[in-house]
Amino acid sequence: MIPVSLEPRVIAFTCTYCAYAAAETAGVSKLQYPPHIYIIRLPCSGMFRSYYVFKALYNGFDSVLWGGCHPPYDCHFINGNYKARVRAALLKSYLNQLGFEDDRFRLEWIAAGEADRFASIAKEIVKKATSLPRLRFLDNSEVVSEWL
Amino acid sequence: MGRVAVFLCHCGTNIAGVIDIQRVAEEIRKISGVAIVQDSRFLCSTDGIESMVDSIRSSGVDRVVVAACSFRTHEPLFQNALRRAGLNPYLLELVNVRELCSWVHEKEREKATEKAVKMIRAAIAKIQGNQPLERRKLPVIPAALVIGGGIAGIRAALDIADAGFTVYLVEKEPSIGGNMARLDKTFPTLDCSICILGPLMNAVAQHPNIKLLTYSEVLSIEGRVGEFSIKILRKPRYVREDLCKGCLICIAKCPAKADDEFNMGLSHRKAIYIQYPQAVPRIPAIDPSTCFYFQKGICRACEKLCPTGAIDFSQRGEVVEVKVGAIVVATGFEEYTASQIYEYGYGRYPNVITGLQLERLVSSYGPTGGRLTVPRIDREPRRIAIVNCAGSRDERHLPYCCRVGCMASLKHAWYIKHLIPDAEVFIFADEIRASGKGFEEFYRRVRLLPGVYIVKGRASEVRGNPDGTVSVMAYDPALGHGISINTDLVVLEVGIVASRSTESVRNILKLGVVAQGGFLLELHPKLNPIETAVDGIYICGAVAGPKDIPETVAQASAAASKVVSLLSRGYIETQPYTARVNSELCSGCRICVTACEYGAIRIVEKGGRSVASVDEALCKGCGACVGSCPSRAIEIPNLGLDQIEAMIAEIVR
Amino acid sequence: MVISIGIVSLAYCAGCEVALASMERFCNLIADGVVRIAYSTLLVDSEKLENVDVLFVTGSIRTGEDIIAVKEASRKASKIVAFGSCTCFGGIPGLGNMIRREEIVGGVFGSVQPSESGLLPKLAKFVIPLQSVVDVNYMVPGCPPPEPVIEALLESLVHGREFTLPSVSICNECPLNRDDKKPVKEPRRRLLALNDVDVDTCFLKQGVLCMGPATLAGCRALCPSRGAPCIGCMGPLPNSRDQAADMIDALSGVFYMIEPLERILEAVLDPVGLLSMFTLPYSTIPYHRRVGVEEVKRDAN
Repeated sequence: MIPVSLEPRVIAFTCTYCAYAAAETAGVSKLQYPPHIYIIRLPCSGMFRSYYVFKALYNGFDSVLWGGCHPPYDCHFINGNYKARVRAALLKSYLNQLGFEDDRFRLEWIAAGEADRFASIAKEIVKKATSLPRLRFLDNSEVVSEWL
Repeated sequence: MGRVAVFLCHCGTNIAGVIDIQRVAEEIRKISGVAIVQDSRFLCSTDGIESMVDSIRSSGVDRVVVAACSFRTHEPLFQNALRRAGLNPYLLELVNVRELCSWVHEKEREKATEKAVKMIRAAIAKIQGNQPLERRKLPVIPAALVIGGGIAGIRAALDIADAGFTVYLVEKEPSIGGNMARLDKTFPTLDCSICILGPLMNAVAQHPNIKLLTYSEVLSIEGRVGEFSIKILRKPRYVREDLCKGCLICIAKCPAKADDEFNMGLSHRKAIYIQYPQAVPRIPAIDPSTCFYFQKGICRACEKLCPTGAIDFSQRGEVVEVKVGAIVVATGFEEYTASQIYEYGYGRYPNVITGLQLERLVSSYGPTGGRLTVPRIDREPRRIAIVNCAGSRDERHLPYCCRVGCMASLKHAWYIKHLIPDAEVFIFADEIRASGKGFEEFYRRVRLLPGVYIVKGRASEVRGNPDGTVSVMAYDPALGHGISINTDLVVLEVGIVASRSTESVRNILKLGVVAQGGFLLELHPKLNPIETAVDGIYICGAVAGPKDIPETVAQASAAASKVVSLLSRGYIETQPYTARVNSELCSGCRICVTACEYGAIRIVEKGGRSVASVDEALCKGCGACVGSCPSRAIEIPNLGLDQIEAMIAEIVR
Repeated sequence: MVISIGIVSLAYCAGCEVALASMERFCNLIADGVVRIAYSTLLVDSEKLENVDVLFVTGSIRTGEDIIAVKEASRKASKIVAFGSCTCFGGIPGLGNMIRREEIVGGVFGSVQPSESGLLPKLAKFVIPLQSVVDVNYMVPGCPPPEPVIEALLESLVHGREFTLPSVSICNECPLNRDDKKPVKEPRRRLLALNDVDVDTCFLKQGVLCMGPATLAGCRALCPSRGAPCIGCMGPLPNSRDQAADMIDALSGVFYMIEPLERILEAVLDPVGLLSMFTLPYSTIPYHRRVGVEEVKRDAN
């Protein structure tokens, strides 16, 4: 039994025309998935900033999902997803070098018609998050208090 | 800090059946900055809205959070309520606790309630950063583009043109008419298809407001609703439209031969051709891939024969640009590739054909002049099998029902009996779906014809026999065992998919598609089957999903009505979500200029420095610049970086 | 009234002291008796730090001694200057946050253990910026702080003028041409590309990683104007939340048409080293997972 405070916490950034639309359709179709995933909607995956990922992990989310439109043609704003793709690759490389597990950050292309896929990704990512350890990031004050 | 009013909607039991609204209200009341929390059974009802307006006025709040459904359904309604209450409509945050919470966590009420609380808390943290915003009025060009010249495109074009607006109707084939021109008759009335279609085609050709662009394709689209700029490629016919009189003498002596696509490969056509006798426009086109002159440099018989000198081998394609306010996509359907259903033998046996091929065979202007004979064998069939749901309702091919196959199979049975009175027809089908107006009556009429049998099971296999016949196997539940029926001809009622040109059109327009079948995605399957996610672009007909002719025509008129409504209003109001630059923070790195797909950002001098500046009219509010700016100098109002970061922090606090 | 300055040097390279001491203005101020260096183990003969007007701190906080010493020193001054990127952000020694302290010592000294005698000081758990230990009055970034910035600092200390840092990045001061709007097709590895780049055109637009867009202005684009891409020593912009994040965002706005994706990663082989060279301890996640992160097991007993 996992205490409530240690239940997984996942945050998903979704683009309005694809991933978010899939999430809403999943709702309309009453597809079920665990409640541990929170969805934030932005116009386009090109607007997802790297800091959101660092901050989300540092603040206590177990993993972060970015949902955008399939390349090459689906992006409503033409190439926003290409920017997200590069950003995600660099972020993954950075987080990897810092020793974080691959499952902590994930980029998925989810088309508006793929409600099923959204629900199954949501289920999967929460499951994976549960098997990852909850992380506690040491604060600078703890470094100081060893000495003062 | 602003004073926030929070409204919680029960949505009947849609939300309240899972989320404990009173608990949520209790938790939200504790948050500093929240002035009032109110719940309502249906916020979108007249009562709900009135009560919201009153509460906003009396509580003196300056911003509002509504926890209810999708922004797609009711955002404008709630924004209006804010306006009426004296608040700027952009000081509103809509939290979707229905599609994103109660509907997807039905069994986890406690956790769903906690989640709703957190979602609302995040919205409250975000709304503190919202500013009042204003919409702008932009003009709408009083013209429309219709892509696709089948019955859907024709109907839409006529309706829009009748309302007084210019319509550009683009069709990739040399003639309009689409698939309906291939049909011999239509169910259930058994109207002659071309007889009812022809007058509409002519009306299009003669309408003063319709500019017909056949043998043309859309290359690119730029702009926004109200002002789209479209580049269209007019492919060269090598026949001058201004000189051709439609006498068709040129075709008679052409020595070349090509597969006739209009007749579904059942016959040949010449290199210079019109698709069928009633083609509109009645101007031939030369297919350079089979023309002897283009391929081998010889012949030119058509040029010698033409009485007006209309043949012009030097003709070039041309790209024309048109500007319109709205676009209708009506690119139609095609049959699924029957050869993919290996067990039905299409492509392996000449006596296995598709439904549309049967239509061509019985058509008076088809390859046999209306005589029903088995292709290549050229013998009148005595026993015919009609295989329904070929490729449809089948996980291996198309999972969905094609909607028209059952009625088509009845019509086809009627054709056969009408042409060959003592033929035997076996229809293989799980059931006959006859739900439209007059459909059940038609079913009874056909079923009562002597020699028409319905086997209540799907055909499992079609096997060729050495004597040239084919046997259709199925399990007959009435008999309780498998059967095999020897036939001369098998007609496959193949499933339908969006036409192949839909893929390139939808990429150009950035429309979503359904994964199976490639049909274009509508804005809302129930309440908005005509609009798409892109403002100003509408879909109608079979490209939006399998349907028959009356449904297609209804949708075409619906799309036309939406277009006319937009064009006659004459203006649109923009969403004010365009990027703004804080020139104090802008470092002039110009990364945003590269990131912007719309060229909306330019560099200007301000205070002695070069900084970025956004052209509001071009900005689409996508945020690519916002995502790429290393100085955090460019933001979309009410979607600020601090606001999003506040939401992240609030959820896990 | 002479302004007395004490310079306490922690895990330092002396670059900041040299930068300060090489400034003609600074030397004049000393010569004119306006300023006096009361304490600096490098620059003057001094045994003990007494009360001073201004305390300059240089070098990273790497050992327990650094923490204790700087805390004590801070009590002896009315104003504290975090001088140089090491004190402001952790500096290059901050990259040591990628390795656990036991491994650092073990890697260098083998089995010899740090002792209390001070011959081999015990390391702090990870490098932290000065402001985590004491209240800082002046953040003076740079490796070392460039002349214009030191000038501004001296103006403030001596004449009371307000010390402000710019709010924009190096790009604002950079003379290289940035007019090309097209996205980059070809990423290059920084050191390998330097032989054939066009030194009058923006490095980033030529596919070379330049930290300029994510780095604070103030040095007059010292390196880019001399043919070397910026490495980010001035640290992040004041409005920034994370220098590496800013740079990743910037790269994705310009490199998004590159195929295949792996080619970008080849050009940024050491992302932490390149993107947070001076600012790892100042970043959102300021260390490697095994250095600063504790795992909390989810199953309750």
